[in-house]
Amino acid sequence: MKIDRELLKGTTEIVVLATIAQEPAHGYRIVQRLRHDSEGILKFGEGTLYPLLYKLEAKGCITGQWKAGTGRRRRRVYRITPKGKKRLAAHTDQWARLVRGIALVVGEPTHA
Amino acid sequence: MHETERMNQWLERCFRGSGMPISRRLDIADEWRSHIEAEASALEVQGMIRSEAMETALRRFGRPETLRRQLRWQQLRQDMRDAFLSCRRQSLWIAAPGAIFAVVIAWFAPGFIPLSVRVTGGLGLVVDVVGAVVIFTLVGTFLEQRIKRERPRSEYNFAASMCRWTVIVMVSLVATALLAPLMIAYGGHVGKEGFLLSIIYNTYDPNMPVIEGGRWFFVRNFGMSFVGSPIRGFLVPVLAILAGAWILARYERSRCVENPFLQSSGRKHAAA
Repeated sequence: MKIDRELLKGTTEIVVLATIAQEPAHGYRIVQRLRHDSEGILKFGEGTLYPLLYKLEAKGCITGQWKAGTGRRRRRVYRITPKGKKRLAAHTDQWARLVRGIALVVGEPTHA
Repeated sequence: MHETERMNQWLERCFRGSGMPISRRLDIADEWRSHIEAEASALEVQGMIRSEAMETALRRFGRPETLRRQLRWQQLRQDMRDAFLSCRRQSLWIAAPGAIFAVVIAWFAPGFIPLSVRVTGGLGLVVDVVGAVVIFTLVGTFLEQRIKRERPRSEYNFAASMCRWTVIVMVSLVATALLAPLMIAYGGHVGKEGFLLSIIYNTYDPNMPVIEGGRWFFVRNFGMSFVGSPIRGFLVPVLAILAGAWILARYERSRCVENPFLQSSGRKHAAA
């Protein structure tokens, strides 16, 4: 089932930071891990991911480092910074409270 | 079409008009190429032919127009951040506009500064001058780093550059000549806090009468330079603006380089 884009807004940053926090990774690996860890529920286009990575890097939440890739290409591996960890913790806490608040109002979801 | 050529054309569409420096474009291009090639290889393993896998990978990556828009906004925000940081480091650049500012005020409104100091008590004048210097320096630094940036020759258009710089030079001169004395005139009117602080404190009232000889004095002087002497008074400033714009447009042209994405081979890097 496709998730409404409006509902996804605001979640991209949290899941990307959480993925990088587990293990430093390059863009392709991040996309793969997101799809796998979310059991296919979260599917981010690369067009969404890379601008977000550059934004997080500019803010100091992640740092990028060039590493040798397969063949002749090099890859940029991203790693979370202490500032990024704080931001992730704060957003995760807010998200948990938001989910709880919504669940209290609408009730627990029923699965078809 | 050869795969590298296809990729280069696609990348060129993503970066065209983004305003990004060439070096940053090449870095991002390396990163995206690596991703797209990995995606295409994965699709090939699933049974797709290479060309189809590449097209699918490019389509999944995103529309070039959408990517270009996002990159352009990010670059604009980065330029503003860099301009701000650059201003803080370069005290000389802060002093130069301030000196020009003071000369312009003295030229258009001699005796104005003592009048303003007497009315505002000096504080408003200081705030207005410092505020204007900061604004002019920030804008100047922002424009400076944009004009110094290397750009692809294929994206440069002399007519568009000339029009853009004509407007910028004209607005800058008019803002310097008009805005500065206006700020002091209204600043003198609203009291010691001056124009900028009165805007912040919301005490500025444009309906109250202006100090005699304040605002109209400099407007009359400025207007005379256009109406009083048609040839000298009008043509000289216009020619000076066009000459300044021409110099800046030519300099922008000199910063152009060959577009790496329109060449048949991309850049290769040694493994890190």
